[in-house]
Amino acid sequence: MVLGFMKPINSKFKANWIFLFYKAIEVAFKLIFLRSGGREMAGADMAVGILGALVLAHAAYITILYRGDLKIKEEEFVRPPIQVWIEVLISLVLCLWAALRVPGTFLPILPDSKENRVVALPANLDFMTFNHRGKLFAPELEAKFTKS
Amino acid sequence: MVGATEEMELQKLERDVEGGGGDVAQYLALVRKLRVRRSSTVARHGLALLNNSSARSKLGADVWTIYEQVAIAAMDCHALEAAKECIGALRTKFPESMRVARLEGMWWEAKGAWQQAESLYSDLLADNPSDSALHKRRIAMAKAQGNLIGAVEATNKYLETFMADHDAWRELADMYILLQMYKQAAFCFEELILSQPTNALYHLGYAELLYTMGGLDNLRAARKYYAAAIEMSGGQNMRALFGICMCGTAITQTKGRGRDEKDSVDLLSLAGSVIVKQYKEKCPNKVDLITSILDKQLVANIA
Repeated sequence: MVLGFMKPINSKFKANWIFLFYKAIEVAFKLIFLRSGGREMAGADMAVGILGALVLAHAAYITILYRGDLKIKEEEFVRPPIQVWIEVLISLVLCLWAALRVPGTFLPILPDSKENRVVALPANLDFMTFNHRGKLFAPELEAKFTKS
Repeated sequence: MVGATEEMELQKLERDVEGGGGDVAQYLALVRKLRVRRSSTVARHGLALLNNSSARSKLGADVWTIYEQVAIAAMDCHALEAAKECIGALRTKFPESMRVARLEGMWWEAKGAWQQAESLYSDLLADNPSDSALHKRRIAMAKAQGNLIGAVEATNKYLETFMADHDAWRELADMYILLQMYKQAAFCFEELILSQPTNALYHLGYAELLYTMGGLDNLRAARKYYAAAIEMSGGQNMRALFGICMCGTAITQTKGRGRDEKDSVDLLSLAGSVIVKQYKEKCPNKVDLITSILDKQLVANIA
């Protein structure tokens, strides 16, 4: 997976952090799937978004480690390692996917689209008049809420 | 504006509500949102909802809007007693409200007591001369009494102050059409098209007005506006399609035979083919009839 890109930067902490990272993803997946219930697709999309955020966090973490290494080696910081670039791009794609999918489908905006086209004007209710033939067929209506 | 999807939703909800099931509160909310006039259904089912005290307590703050909606619907059905009860309930909740006072004025109107309604509206307008809804009620009252000229004058005066009110422009256009003052009505429709250029129905209305006025220039302009209406409705508006066909025939007849300038018949045959296609989908047993009519028209135009 994404973690395949990880090079041994600081071997002392590596194993520990990978373990924690995997655990975090697992917990996130479980939470999402349990909570979303029937809407499994929406849950999956949300999980993709969370994965993207985690990858972004991981990229930040690696950058910090890298800078720590540079300080020890007493070298200048020029640019973050290629692995960080790749992780940021992956996280961008994943978060974009989630942002487009999670809130739901797009609504039509074109005036001539099949769903959106105007079929009737609203009745001009502000200018409503009451002296029409309907008064010959007045329905039997009784209001009973005044007593209660 | 009522969109195609919303109209389907409304019809479905209405069927459910009429069938005894369905969420009446949701139906009432949709009727309010789309501003359609379904007075009989709203009055019957809305009143049943309000009569049921447990259902009423579930509505929360919406209940007062529903009282108002049901009151107006009941007045429209001439169920004046029920309307009075609704207004009374609102009056006890909001003793000082202008909106409830307007409802009372409308109740007098529904009863036909124009004097009381007029004096009530005048009092209210003296307190609050910029209340546009009150001005509109007075216009409607003049119209209800058959005083169309007075209503038109009042609307013109109202529009001097509230120029952006396109409902009023529409009402004015309707009244001018009733008075057969088509030029003035056309002006109102121009205003409407300017205010909502993407609404196909205003283009359609303007085209029909121009077609009614007649004359070669007007007919050609009408054809353009029919075409615009077709474009904006995605080719689904049958009235505009038929309008194109009628315009084509009328233009040929007005021009008379033997004139050298020739109008293209492409638009006519295109509109005709779309009409036939729609008939094949929705009403297959009338296809022969419509094809023969359209063919005759086309032949008359080519000859």
